[in-house]
Amino acid sequence: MAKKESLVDRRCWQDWSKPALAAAADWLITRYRHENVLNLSGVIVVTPGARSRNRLLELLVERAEVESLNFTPPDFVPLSHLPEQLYSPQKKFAGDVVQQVAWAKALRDLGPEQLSVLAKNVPENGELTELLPLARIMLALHVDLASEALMFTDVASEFKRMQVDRSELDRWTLLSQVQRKYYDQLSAVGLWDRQAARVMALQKKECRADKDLVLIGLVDLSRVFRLMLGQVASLVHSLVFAADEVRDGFDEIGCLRSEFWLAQPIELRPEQIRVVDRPAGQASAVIECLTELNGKFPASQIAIGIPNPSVASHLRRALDLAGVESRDATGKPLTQSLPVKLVQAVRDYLRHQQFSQFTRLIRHPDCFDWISHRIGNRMWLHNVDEYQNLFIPGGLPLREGFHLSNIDVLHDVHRVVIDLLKPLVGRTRRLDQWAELWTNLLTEIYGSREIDGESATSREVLSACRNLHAALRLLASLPSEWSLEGSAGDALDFALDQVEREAIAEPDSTDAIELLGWLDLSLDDAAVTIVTGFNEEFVPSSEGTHLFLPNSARAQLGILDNARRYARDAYALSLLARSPRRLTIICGRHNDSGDPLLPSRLLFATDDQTMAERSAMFFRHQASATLHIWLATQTDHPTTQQFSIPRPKIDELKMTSLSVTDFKQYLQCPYRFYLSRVLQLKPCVDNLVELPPFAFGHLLHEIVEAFGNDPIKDSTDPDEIRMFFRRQIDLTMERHGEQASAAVQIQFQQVRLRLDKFADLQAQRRRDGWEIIEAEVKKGTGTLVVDGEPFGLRGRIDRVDRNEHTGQLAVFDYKTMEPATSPDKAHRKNGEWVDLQLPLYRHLIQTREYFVSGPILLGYILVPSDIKNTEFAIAEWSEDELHSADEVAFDVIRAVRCNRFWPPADEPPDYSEQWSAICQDDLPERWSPQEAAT
Amino acid sequence: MTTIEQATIDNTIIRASAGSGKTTALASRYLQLLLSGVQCHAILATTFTRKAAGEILDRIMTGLASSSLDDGLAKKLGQTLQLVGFDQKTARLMLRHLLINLHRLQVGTLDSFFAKLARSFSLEMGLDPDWEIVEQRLIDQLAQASVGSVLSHSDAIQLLHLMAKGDSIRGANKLMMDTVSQLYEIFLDSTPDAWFQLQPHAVLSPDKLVSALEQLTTIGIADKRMATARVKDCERAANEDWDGFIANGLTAKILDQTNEYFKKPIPDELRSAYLPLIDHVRGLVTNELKDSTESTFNLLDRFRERFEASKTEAGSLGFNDVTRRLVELLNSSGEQAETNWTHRSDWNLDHLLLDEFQDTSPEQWRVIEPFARRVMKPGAERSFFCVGDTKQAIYGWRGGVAELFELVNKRFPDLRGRELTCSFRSSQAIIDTVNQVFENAEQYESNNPLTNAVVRRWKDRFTTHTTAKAGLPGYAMLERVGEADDLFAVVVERIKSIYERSPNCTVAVLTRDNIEVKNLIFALHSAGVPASEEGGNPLTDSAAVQLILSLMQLGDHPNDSVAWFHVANSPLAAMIGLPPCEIEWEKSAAILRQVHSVAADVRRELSEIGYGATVARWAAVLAPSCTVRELRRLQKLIELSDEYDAQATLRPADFVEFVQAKKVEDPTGSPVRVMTIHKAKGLEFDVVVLPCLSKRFTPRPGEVMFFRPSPTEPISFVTRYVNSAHRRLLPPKIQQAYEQQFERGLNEAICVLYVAMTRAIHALYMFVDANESESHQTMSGILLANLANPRGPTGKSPGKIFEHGDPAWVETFVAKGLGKFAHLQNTSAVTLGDVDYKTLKLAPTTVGPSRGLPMTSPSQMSSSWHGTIGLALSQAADRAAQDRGTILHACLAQIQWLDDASWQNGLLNELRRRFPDFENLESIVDEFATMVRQPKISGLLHSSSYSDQIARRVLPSQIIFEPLTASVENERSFAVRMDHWIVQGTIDRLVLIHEGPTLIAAEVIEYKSDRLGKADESAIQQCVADYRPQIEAYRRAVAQFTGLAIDQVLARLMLVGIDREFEVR
Ligand code: SF4
Repeated sequence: MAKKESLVDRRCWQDWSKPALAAAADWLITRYRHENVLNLSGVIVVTPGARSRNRLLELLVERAEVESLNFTPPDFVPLSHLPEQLYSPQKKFAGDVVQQVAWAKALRDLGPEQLSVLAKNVPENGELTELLPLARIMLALHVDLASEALMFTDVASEFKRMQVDRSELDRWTLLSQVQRKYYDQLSAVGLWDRQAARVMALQKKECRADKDLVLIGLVDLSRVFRLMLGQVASLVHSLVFAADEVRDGFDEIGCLRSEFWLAQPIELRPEQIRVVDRPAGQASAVIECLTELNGKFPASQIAIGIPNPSVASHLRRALDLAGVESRDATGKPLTQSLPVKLVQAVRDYLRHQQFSQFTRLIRHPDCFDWISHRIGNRMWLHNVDEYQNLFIPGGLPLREGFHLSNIDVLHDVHRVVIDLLKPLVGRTRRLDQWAELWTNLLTEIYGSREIDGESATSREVLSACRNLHAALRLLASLPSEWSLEGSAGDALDFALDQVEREAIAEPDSTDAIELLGWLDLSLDDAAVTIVTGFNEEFVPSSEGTHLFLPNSARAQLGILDNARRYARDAYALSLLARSPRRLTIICGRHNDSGDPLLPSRLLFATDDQTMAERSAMFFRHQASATLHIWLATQTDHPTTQQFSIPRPKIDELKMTSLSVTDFKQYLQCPYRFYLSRVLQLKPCVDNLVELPPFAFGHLLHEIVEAFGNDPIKDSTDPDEIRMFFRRQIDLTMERHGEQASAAVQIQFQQVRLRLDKFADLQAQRRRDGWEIIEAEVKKGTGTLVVDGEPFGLRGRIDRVDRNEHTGQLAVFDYKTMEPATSPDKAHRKNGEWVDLQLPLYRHLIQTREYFVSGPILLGYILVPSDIKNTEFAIAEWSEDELHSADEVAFDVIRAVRCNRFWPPADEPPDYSEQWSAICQDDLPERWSPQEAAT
Repeated sequence: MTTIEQATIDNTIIRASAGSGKTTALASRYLQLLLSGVQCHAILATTFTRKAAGEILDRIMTGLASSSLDDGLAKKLGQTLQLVGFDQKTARLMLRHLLINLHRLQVGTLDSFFAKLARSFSLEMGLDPDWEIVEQRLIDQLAQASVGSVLSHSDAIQLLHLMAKGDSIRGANKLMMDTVSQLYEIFLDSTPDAWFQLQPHAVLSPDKLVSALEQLTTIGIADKRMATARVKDCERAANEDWDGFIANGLTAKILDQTNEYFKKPIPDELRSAYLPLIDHVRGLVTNELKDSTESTFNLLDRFRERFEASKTEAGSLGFNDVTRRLVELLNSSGEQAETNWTHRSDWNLDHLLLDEFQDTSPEQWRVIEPFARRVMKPGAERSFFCVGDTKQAIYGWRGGVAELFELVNKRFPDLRGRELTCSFRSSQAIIDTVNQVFENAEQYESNNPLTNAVVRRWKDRFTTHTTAKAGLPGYAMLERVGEADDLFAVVVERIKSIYERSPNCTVAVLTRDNIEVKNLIFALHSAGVPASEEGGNPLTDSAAVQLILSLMQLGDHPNDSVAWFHVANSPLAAMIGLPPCEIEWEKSAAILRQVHSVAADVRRELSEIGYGATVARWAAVLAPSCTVRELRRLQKLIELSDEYDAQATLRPADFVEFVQAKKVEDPTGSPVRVMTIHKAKGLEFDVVVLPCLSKRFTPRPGEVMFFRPSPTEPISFVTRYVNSAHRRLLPPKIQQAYEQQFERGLNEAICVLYVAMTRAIHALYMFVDANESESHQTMSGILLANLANPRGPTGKSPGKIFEHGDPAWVETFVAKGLGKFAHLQNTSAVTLGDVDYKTLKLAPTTVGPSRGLPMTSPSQMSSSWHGTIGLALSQAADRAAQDRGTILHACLAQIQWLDDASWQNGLLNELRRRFPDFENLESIVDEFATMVRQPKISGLLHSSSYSDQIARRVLPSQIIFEPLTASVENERSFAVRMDHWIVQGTIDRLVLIHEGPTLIAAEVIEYKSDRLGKADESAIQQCVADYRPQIEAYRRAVAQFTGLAIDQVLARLMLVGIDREFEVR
């Protein structure tokens, strides 16, 4: 283990009461200017991030312009690349993808038994891809430690010294083995681990530089970096922003000494701190702060820090409404871009070939456009719904000529999708071979798009395609010896893992307030800085429990621990507070779900009195009665519901006939009747997993209809009848095809069980002399004369029986409802008619040629789930009762004739959920037609 | 700090009645520990909700903060909490200790503690360390998928059929999903054996059945009525109406062991003839039950296998899963896990403080127990403390088992018990009423002895409550509603009257279930009382939200005419260009096409700018028409949409589902709040109104009946539900299981009543229905039995049956300015925000120095921003071309002047150093050597020929006074400001031309190695045109940093592959 080495003092103190980057620019100019030439080409400058780099460059350009300097910019090197400036790697580095796989291979080499010490459920002799999650953990741990010049064995020996528990020690001994195997894997294919190479260069004292190295505010460097810089110390200048009294807080190279900052007070004035309740309140507080600026500052001089990302969305929405442009410096996650969503959707469908995944893929806007273009039609989505509702498929295989019933458009859609995906289907291949095929897919969908630099979407798509493409190409770096194989999806997963944290920058704008992460804030020189979300867990962050390296061990090993995290943020806040600016810090009490938040510890780095006052301010803070509704941009809002239930719009008579089942609907609610029967509105779903009640009923109807129209209807042999039913069921099943979901297949079995039982009853009924004379009277029509005017009546009759002895007719409706209900119960509630279906059949049957006057039997054929209750249930209504039913029907017809569909019934009827949004069923503040009228 | 005082850290168990200061007790224990020198990270304090955890912490911190600011307060607090030696100084030390260690504080929910525990064992638990606690919706999706795979087993149909006792259920999926949602937790909490406890029972063969019936018919009976009954019994048996058979006639009498029929004894001979038939029925019932129970097990077991594996695979767990998997881990590794935990968390858990202990589930206890055991080891400087109230155990359905309280007491005899019965919340009238109800339990007499016994047990365990708030105005009453009156109407009227007399007091209307909440809210609104619902509903209770969801639905399903109609009749229609939905809409293809295209636009917008931004845009259109409540909900929807973007799918319908499943609180200052009693737990209100007391105690026939031998043990016996008639035929343990469940449910129901009554600070208004009586098995029954004033109205006449305290309490309340909202002027007119958006104006950008100019480069100004994405990708894919270009440039950069041949020395080595990965360097160097021999390039790179050219070009007609010199800067980088950009880049070759010491001109030379056909003139011209803007930018830059005029800066594009050069001007 490397010991702390003392360095020559390389600090260049800069007064922190001046803007840091301006001071840095000043320093560079003073030191390197010769007359009117400012040539920094011989200087390497390293800043903490791209943002401070850009700002420093901007300041240098500005100074060069003002002072008419012939300016050559310095060589800005990103911190992570600095070491490679200091030594020449001898071998090619293994990239991230290669490292992951090397770790996975190393883990597999351990064998299942050893591996089980590390993790449960590790697949025995499993695929490498299954070991990747564990491999990624190993890699992270490796990078974490190696950047501090530690090997896994170092940890093991340290733990031994610390006398930690045997089992933890065993894990580390094992980890050390894995690490050795990892190195072996890499060297076998002639590759190098970047971290190991750095440590090696260090140990061999190989670090050299031929340029000056200027470090700007790099206060938290890992040990490897510090030691490497130590080997070129004479060229290093570390610019440290501080005041005299905190000089002890830095080591020779300008890095923070944690102990010092843990005890260092941070000066904040009371008016700089605001406590608010929820994230929405934080947004309002920011607006308030901006208002207080009285228009003195332009957007470019204002920066808002967002350590807690959940505040960001509130803030942006609020700023939008206030008409203030903002720009999120972190950008939009690449994973939310359309190209990434496309490949993800393709991958998911390829993997499982589920129908639901197909429905997602085809709704991808670019995929949808592409399909529509290919099939020359943009109106086809509903066909997919239709298909789903009819057949309830489980999967949808990626095969051509696949049975998709008679929905032609869907055939076309499926065919072009297959065309598109065909190259990616099935087979395992070497992973790098998939890269080109995925790129081809992107090219097929996006290739012909013109790039438009002005359009945010276009930039986003281009950037996403490029990044994906680059990530896919990394697969080519996998050594061919490893011949790592997998599916197209596996290959994509590697690429997606690479782009997961990437973001697409939002368009630049100097008219926008920038929203920055915490780390970018301290060197930023905005005149106004507002820091939101100043809460523990975000500032400072800390690690609680850890799978391998708890904080105490980290502290012991001298690597990034909670104390260092605190020190980093304490220094950053001090810098913010001490440099000239208007600073406001906003702390939240609760998050969006109302869970409590803790204040940042940094707020209490102060004297006892202030500490007590601040903690009282925070913990006593109560949510005010002010509702932070940033959506309210006007001060007065209506006090009653303004969104109305649309009134029926109908001037002339539309309905000249009704079906027998319509009456029930009208009686329940005239308005909902209007919606469903007059306007014919229908909701859509496509997430059925099994036949819904009506479809289940429909299925059964189909079979008994076939029965009623087949000579077998006169059979008195229950077995024969059963056989017929079963054959019919099998035929219907075939039509549904192999992709029918398991639940639907079971439903077919259920239908069979019910009809098995019904066969007995039917045979008996025939023996009793009842013959079926008509089944499924498709378009039964009749006429009711109401107030001297005829009115049409429609309806389908499931079945009409005639007794061969008495000639009596019986009209039946098959019912599969749950629980089995007698006709009377279904038709009347508390003595009132609520349904008129059966009584109205009397009028329909009058037009049939076999009709003879005389009483007709009306009833249900109950085919319920509890098959014991299967029966021919006859309604026993007297002629008077039936007449009263007719009267009710007449009333309905009168109402319909004068278009009376208003108002909606007060109580929503059962099973009327589809109208609940329109009818405002679920609202406590329901719109009231009366109030609206006044 | 003082030394540890043993007295303060006894292991303690506190029974704290409602309002008696549970939180205070816990906070004070916490402070005591700190005071005795315990570090905060050695203390774990847990409770069940994050809100409650926040309150505990607030209590600790505000106590310390106030004491730190004021020594007087410190001393006072020290006295109240019996903290010896507590003063301002110690308070400050303690406060600083906590504030420095905020990140190590362990005051939170039990669930979050378990989650931390589980996280440090992710690998040992077979979980990807990225696992997450996810929404129930996502778990349900996994459950649905697992059900799908269970159903695809070939014998699934048989099992389902058996499970449903022969029913041909209509929906297999629905049945299975219901079974899972009702029984899975029970399944996991039971031993497998528990489901296989029933023995098969023989039934009669058809022949034997016939002969048994014959046997029965042949016996002679004297009694006529008995004979008739026998005939009917036989008929039922012959029809196999076995339920009828056992429920009627002589069978019923034999089964209930009265053995008499109309007071006449049933002869033994006759009785014996019945027995084989009864036994036959017993066999039928037993076997059916056995099959059903065992099939249930088998289905659930298959489900478990898939479901648990899929959660592991997805890394998606619910809190219960975490607990259960921890139990498994602890079972297999025992103490070792604890040691590892201490190491991995840096956290020596020495002191346990558990709140709401009665709500702990057996599984949770199994995780806590090893820790509890450790801290209670005698002699250790560790401690255990728990507080709870078995009278408030209303979370049985969530697994809470109040009996744990007793059990822990028994298991750890050293625990010091304390009971807190003095309320710091309620007025005397309330406390008296509570006492009267629960102390007089023996007055209650229903016709169910089981019920009576449970109610009486309450009396035995109940300690008389007292109150510290006897001075508060208080009132309690019980009113019977008239037969003709609508209960809710009366209740609303009473609330209205209270509200109007004192709009500042908080009124809670507490109900048994959610549907009542909805109805009451509606009724209150209609009566003009602003009421809000506590506890969170899906946002679909807002009209504006519904409109937006309908638009989402339409985006997903362009043929959803319901959604179309809904949106078309709203302000959204105009914004998105949605045509109206009118009669016969389906006949106009043009209109339908328009709808489809709107839907496509919706999908595109959602995917391109995200749900948050889209919803915000739509909401802005709706906002002006919104009431304040609608606005709050709409804003919440925007917040949810922003949250959703990270998990957004390609289907707007998924978002609709997400919103429908998500309960979102609507915190308002509304003084009248309606909620279920369960949601009121832990809250207090000035007035409590209880209008729904008539729900029967008798538990719903659960889907299974089960028996648990002791609170912490797994369930040892399970069967599917059977009714009481069947239970009589079955082994007694089934009845036992039924009774255990019944008692548990009933006890919980009484807890609910206790919780409801004790929420009140000042007044309690209770209402019962006209037809309720004091023997009913309802809350009303208990209240009527125990509160009814013997001198009050008798029978069922409406009016106040019970009244206690001051009916005019409201006036006192108002006069004294009491109540939570007293400090607010008028709570119904809450302000919308403190900020007037219109006054927010920033300075124009031109004010002050420029800052944050965007960066760009000349190359970004040209080629890559033209052409198609396909072209960009194919260029990026042509790695060979890129590499060649890079290396050729690197070679060119080595050349100052070709006159000096030394550039060749070491070129290959230099390239090897810079491009270690590249294999074909030699061939490119060869290519390069040939390239620079071409006339144009050669002319450009030879100093002599170049000087000739340049003199002609720069100074065609002037006299040269001094010799021109040309100096070269290869790969010259620069950064300058151009307009509103910072432009930075690198010039391949910059030649500076001096006349004597004076810089008089410069030339930019840009090499391009594009592979072009020598004869393809149009491609060449296109290429030059593409690069022209880039080179122009170079010229401007050079002019800027050299100070030359723009026309003194020349530029040349050199196509090195074909040796063509183009001057750019
Ligand atoms: S280089 Fe740094 S240390 Fe040296 S003189 Fe300049 S500022 Fe001081």
